[in-house]
Amino acid sequence: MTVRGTRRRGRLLLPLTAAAVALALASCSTTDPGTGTGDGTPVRGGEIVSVQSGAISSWHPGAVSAAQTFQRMQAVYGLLMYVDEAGVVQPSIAESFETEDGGKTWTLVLNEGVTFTDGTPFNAEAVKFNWDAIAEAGLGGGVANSFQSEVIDELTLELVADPIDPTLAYRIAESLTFIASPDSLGDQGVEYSTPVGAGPFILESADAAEGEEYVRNDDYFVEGQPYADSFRTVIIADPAQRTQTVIQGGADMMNGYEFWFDDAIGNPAVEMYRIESGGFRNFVFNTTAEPFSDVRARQAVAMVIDPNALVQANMSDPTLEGSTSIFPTQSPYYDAKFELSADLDAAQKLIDEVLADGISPDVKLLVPAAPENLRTSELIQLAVQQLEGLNVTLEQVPLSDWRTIAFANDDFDISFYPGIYDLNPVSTSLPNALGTDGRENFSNFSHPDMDAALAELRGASDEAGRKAAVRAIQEVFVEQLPFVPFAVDYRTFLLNSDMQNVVSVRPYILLTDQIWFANQ
Amino acid sequence: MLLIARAVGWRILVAIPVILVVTLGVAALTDLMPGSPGLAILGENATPERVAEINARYGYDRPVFERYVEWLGGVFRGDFGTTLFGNVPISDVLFKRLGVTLQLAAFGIVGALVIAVPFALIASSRPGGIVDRVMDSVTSAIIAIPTFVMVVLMSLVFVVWLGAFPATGWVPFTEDPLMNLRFVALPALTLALNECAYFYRVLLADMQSTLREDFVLVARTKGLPRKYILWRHALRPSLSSLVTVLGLTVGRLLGGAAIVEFFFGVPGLGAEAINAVSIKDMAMVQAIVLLCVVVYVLVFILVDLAYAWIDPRVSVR
Repeated sequence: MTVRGTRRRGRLLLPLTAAAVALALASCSTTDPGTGTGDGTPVRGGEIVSVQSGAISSWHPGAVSAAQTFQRMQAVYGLLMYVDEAGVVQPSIAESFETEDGGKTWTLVLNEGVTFTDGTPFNAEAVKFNWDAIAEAGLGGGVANSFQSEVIDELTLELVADPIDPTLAYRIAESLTFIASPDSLGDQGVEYSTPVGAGPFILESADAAEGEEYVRNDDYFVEGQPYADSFRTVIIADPAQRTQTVIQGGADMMNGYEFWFDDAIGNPAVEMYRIESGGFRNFVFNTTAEPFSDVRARQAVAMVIDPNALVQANMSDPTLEGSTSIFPTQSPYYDAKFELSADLDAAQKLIDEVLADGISPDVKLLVPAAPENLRTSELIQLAVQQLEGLNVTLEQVPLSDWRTIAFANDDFDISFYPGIYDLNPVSTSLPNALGTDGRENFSNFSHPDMDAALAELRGASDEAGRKAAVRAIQEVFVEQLPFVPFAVDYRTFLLNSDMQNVVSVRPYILLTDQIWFANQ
Repeated sequence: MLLIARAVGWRILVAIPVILVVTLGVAALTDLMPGSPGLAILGENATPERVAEINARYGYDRPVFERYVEWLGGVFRGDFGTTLFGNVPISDVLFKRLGVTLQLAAFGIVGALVIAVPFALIASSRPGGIVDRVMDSVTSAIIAIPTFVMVVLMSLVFVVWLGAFPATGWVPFTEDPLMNLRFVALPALTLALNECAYFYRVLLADMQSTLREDFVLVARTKGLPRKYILWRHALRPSLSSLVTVLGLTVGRLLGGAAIVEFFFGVPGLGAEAINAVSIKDMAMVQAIVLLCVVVYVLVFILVDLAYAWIDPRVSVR
């Protein structure tokens, strides 16, 4: 190009050219995605980058609040024990945690030879120290205050639960699974910010706006693990931006709802990993007001809803399939015979009988205001309106007022439940949801057969007994239908497709010690 | 020179009470929280002993004036305290974030000027022409789009459709200049687009007014080229409104373009302010407010000086 014109033009040319070059360089495409899969043999190396929505506010082992905290703490502290995808408690740093008297006394045995990264031993004293500190600080959801512990020997701790608690293993796996070095923790509370644990990684640096960096713990108690050399978190508040960051290769993993990941569909650089969360979506009947005080009316409505349509509308995902079971397929309590089936003719017959008995045909369908709730509730309304004789009116209320209106005042006939029912652990969740005095018995349901089956569950001392009791509960449930589930809840991870050996534990995090990358 | 020094000194003196009132107000806000700051920080499940401990540690159990005076003393020593979680000196965090925001703001403002000034000159020299009409519509549209919509649109076009820029992230310039440019490009372009519409309209209005002045007519009758008249004669006297808007913009952006930083994951002052508010780190909030007030004061001192440079008839007092 010939430079012509006045000196004035020449003054502009260089900076403009420099700016153009800079912009061109800046817009170069991102890293190429990896291709192919590993041959199954873990490969050392690489960095796991997890994108999170916010910073961790406290490293105190009792300050576990959400999945994003749990993920980071798993990296630094490891897990004493955890709840796997099927809802079963598995030991990790603990060798075992058992009860032989139905939950009164528990014995924790630790694996031998585990040390914190400051060199101090991970022993029974350390566990007791942490749990006592959590109890004193009022953290851990009160679980640490529900038992007394005593050190038996270097690796053994005995717990006495008060009151008796057959679900203590779950509760500890969810709330007390992180153990910090007592020398490091000292008497600090939530301001504890220099975590020392026995996990697969060691916290190297933290920035509240950018994220944290962790390096491999070469003395991790599982030989050969972690496979990655480092772990890093990147903080991005907006879910769409988090998704784009993973798609572009700026991060390797994030968790979220599947409808966030539409842009990832068909992209070979990423994969979706879906887990049944153990919870389900549902709508609730008011069993103390007409018409749904009559079980026939409840059965009729259950027979006309289309669970596929409901979940697709609720989650804005046309590929999802509904389910009318209160347990996901992976649960040991799942039984296909307890799924509900559709039958419009049979439903209409039931409604005709109900109306002939003089029961009110007016149905108030309460909707906690949010677009996805309204979409789903409108479909419920359409489904119920197929039943001739019923008059359905839809009423939206603010989400913040919904619980009071629906469940404190019982001012509804059907209500879409804007959340997830999670029935794990069954020993406490089922009585809460279905027992006459259950804290979460929003349908005001009360039935002697159900209470009897729940009493059997509470008294069950082994898994066989629990399964038998849950079967009896489900039999009463599908007959009485205080609420109607229409979909299991999924949590989905968006992952770098080179990631191998992805293992998820509740609350929906990945085990960073087990991940390795193909195509390094 | 003496006059300028006196003018600057007077403005700084007048700004001191403003700084004191604003920062005292922020300090007093903590006392207006329901419960206590310690309870707000730890949450409802915290034991009373823990709450009392946090209140004592951060001085929230003392009267606001006593706390404020102690804080002020620390500020004069360069000690803003430490972050709520992490115990990192606030000054370290602030200067790190300020550097990022300065870079982003600088790129955004320069970008906005690079777009706005040439178009304003062209449009003012040909009123009703194609550039004037197109820019009228474009700038109206840009002004009508709120920032929280603009960031989404920019991301959709440049990240999702074109794949031209990374969605989020930041690498410091000192670590890797090229990667830094890659990450700053889209947030800076977003800021530039947001601001250029205002710059364009303000400059266009002043240029149109200036071009009607007699001295411009004289320059034309002398046969001077149009571009020369625009750049050498008309532009400078038309800058006063633009300088004012520029000052407001600089002050606002240096306080942190919160939405842009938040959305694109840029670790600047705006993102830090959002984080500090969400975790109730009052010391950090107070430090950021102080920084913003000081920035505004300095910017408007510069704006006043700029007026004198633009129009030598204006003296700075």
